[in-house]
Amino acid sequence: MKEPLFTIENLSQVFDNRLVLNIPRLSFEEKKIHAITGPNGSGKTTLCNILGLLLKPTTGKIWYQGEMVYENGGLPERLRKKITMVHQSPFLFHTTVGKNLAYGLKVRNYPRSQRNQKVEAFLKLMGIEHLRHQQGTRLSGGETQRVAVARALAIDPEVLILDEFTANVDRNYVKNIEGVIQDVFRQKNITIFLVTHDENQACRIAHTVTHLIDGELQDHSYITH
Amino acid sequence: MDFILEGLRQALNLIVSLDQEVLGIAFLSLWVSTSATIFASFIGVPLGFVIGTTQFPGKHMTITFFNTLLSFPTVVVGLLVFAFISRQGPLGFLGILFSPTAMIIGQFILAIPIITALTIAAVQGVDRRVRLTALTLGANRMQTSITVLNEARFALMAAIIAGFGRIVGEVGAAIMLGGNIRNYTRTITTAIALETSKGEFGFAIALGIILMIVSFAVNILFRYFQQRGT
Repeated sequence: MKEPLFTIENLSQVFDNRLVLNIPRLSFEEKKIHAITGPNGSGKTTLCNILGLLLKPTTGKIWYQGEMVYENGGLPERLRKKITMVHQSPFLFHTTVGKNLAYGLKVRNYPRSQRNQKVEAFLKLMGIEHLRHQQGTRLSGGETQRVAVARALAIDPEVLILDEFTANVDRNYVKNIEGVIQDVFRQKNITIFLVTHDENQACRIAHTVTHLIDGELQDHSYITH
Repeated sequence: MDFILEGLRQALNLIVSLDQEVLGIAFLSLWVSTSATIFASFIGVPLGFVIGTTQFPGKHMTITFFNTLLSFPTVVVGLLVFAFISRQGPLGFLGILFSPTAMIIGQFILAIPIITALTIAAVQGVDRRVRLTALTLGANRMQTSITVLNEARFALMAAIIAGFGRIVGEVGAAIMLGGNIRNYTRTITTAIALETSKGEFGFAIALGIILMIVSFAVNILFRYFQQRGT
């Protein structure tokens, strides 16, 4: 049987002596859309930061495709090249949108011509070609979100984590961006984690829903579409 | 009052006629201070970055130490360097006392605290999402650090310019370590001190005007980079 993408065991996260996440056991299959839902303060973003390897949990073990993540020093850095995350309030570097998209490709030493091609393709995919030469810091919330998603997709990740990815997006554009996520999933065959308040959105596009309340796992179930 | 007006008239004549001695002194001042600023930046920027971005015991004390050094008297720095490079000092064999090299060393020591302290403030002011974003896009530790520095670039330029501003107008270390030797170690500030004591107001005012122009230009640049950084 194939190893799950992520397996978590006895995971806990403590901030300032407060237990914010406590998950005895949980696993996520690869090449699925997983939604993580729950009210504010339920530990959704903390779980995402742990899955995105931005935060080492206080206790517990994590396996990525059967490899224990924090067993050897260099592994998190190597895995981080495969996992990317778009935060709720994404940050765009103080440069043009085009250079923001090229960043992840540059740190992977892609040649300039290939970088330009990919930047163009992903700007087009998100419908933001017209923003290419604009300063990233001068965009609206919705535009920033779209650029951040394009920037994350440009690096061809195995895992894409989207934290409240439609929170700052115009309501009319939510369906559109959900469609883009589903298209990307179909075309690229990657694993996507969605953090959302919106249970309807989770049911619309995800294959599994993981529900957290006060840092505790309440439910982890499959959705039948 | 007349002697001041006469001094101003002489000063303008010296500047307009591009007097070789005035130009030579101005050039030496700029060269010494620019060299010291460049060397101090190579130490102060990485040092400030490490202090500003890492957690270690005594971090607050270290930052307070550098902030205290900002007001370190220039003559004390001159005295310390003098003690090391004078003939009887441990580095006396180098024979660099009363040379531009000695002045660069003194100004280098004066510039390090201001560049370090302002670099610490600059990197601490960078949005914490910069580091997280770089990491999520696959940057390694070195690439992440470079990205943080790049985001702080305007504040870093302001830090370096502030370092230059502090040393180009200082007189204590320059006179103690350079000796104010004509056509060799005479800088704008040391020449102003000497010429004023000789009663050569015209010459002193001409140099004063040049120093003011340099300071003005430095401040305009400082404000420009500070504003770009906010």
